[in-house]
Amino acid sequence: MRVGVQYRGTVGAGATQRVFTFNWAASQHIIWYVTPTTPRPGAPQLDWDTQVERASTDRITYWIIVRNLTGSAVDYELRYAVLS
Amino acid sequence: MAGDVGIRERLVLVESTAQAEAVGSAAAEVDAHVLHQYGDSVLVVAVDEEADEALAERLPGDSEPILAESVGADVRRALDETGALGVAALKHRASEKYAATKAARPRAGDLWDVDEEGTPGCALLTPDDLSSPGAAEAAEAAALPTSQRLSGSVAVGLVMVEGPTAALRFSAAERTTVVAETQNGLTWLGGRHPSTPITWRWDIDIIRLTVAANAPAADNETRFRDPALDALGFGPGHAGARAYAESLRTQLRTDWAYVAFITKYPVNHFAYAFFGGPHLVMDYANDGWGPANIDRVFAHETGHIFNAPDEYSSSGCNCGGAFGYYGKPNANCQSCATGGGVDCIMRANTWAMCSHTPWHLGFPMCPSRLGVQFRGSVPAGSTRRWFTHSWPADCHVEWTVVPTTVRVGAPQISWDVHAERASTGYVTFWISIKNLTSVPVDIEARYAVLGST
Repeated sequence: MRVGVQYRGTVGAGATQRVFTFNWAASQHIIWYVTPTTPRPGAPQLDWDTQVERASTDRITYWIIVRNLTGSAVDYELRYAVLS
Repeated sequence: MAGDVGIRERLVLVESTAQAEAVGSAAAEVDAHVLHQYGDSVLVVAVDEEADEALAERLPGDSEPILAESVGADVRRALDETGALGVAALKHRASEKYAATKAARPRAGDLWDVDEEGTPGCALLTPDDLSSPGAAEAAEAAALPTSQRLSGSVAVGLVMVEGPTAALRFSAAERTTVVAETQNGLTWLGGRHPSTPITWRWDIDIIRLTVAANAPAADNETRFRDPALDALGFGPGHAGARAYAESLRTQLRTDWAYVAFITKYPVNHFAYAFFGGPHLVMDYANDGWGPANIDRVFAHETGHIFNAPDEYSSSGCNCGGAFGYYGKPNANCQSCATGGGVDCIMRANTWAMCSHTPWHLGFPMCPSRLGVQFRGSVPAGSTRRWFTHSWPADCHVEWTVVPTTVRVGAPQISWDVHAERASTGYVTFWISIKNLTSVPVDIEARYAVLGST
């Protein structure tokens, strides 16, 4: 197993952002998650969903939708774990 | 085994920066790790004996893990000064003489303030201890920290400052001792990580000044530090040391950097560090502890560079406060911890680390593990939200929820996870769980810590 950060970005106040990352081996089991890097204690800041596209027989593109639940911009990391 | 720190170390010699990076990748594949890099060519790798062959198969070019004593004189002569000292240091640490020195280590186990009159503990300074910083220095203070936490890779600028007289110079053997001791200390310190190893990348300079030991100066440090920084191409004072550390961070491509001045010039105190960096100062004689304890004093002072507080009573410590990347209290302080605290490098002359210092140092605290964080019940057709706080921010955590109430034939629950950055070092997770059925469902929320970045 290995973990990493695929992307760092900012999502505006109350906004939704969609990012994609391509050319991942279809044979790998991968999970995606998002972590805010802008401290703002007291309430959740980000929600996310993952969608998947089979780009070819052996390659996958992941689309990650990041929603800012707050009234100000939030910096974030898009993280992954390759489980196998 | 080199030194007395229980880690099997081997040399790997490479021909380029690209090859050095390839060694790092190869080592990771076989659970080995690059502990030290000296110059462009010399790597010290922690590797178990059974992984030697697998590592050799993966190394670039003709590289292989070797003993320092097998490096021929012609190869040593071709190395730059930093690389040659790194090889000599590892060779010295593997010698019987070094092992004997460590076995007879003076004052082993003593508290750092055991003899406050004769060998008071190290001094701990902040930039406020410096006199009247100028505008440029004040601006520098707001820059990106050079040693916010002990993680990833660290550049170490080791500066041996010599003077114009024999008493102020290092012999070749003493230079090797300095590099061996600091290598031993950081091999041990970096090896205390709970989950992610540290790589130390060294730049070693030997600066010979013409300044007399009693030349007029604002203080003992200024007398040799500023001329040494000038010789390295940097300005004076705290700002100059920080600029040098920043330059090393860029040049050696590391996450963090600091500077260590080791000298025979008179010093303000035999060993001290500026809390949070960028530099430390040590006297070669190392007061009553002696050169054979440079390794532990160096590891202790490096702890200060990475924000770990003293734990011995005369430091004035107490069990409160908020130290380091995670803002943890100094709970092993000798003055107030139960029984005077436990053995720890920040407390005594020992190869031990208490459970609090890793948090102060800011090690990634994410050993992979699974668990159940909480159990609860969700009423029929409703959604309940829980939060769980104080997860180290660099932990990769995956959340799942499973029902524990048996009901066959249809899905019972769904869940959604939201994240909150509660502070620089911590994340709070908010987990909303929806009951899709018409009866209450008991659940358990499970986590998987997958690693850290």
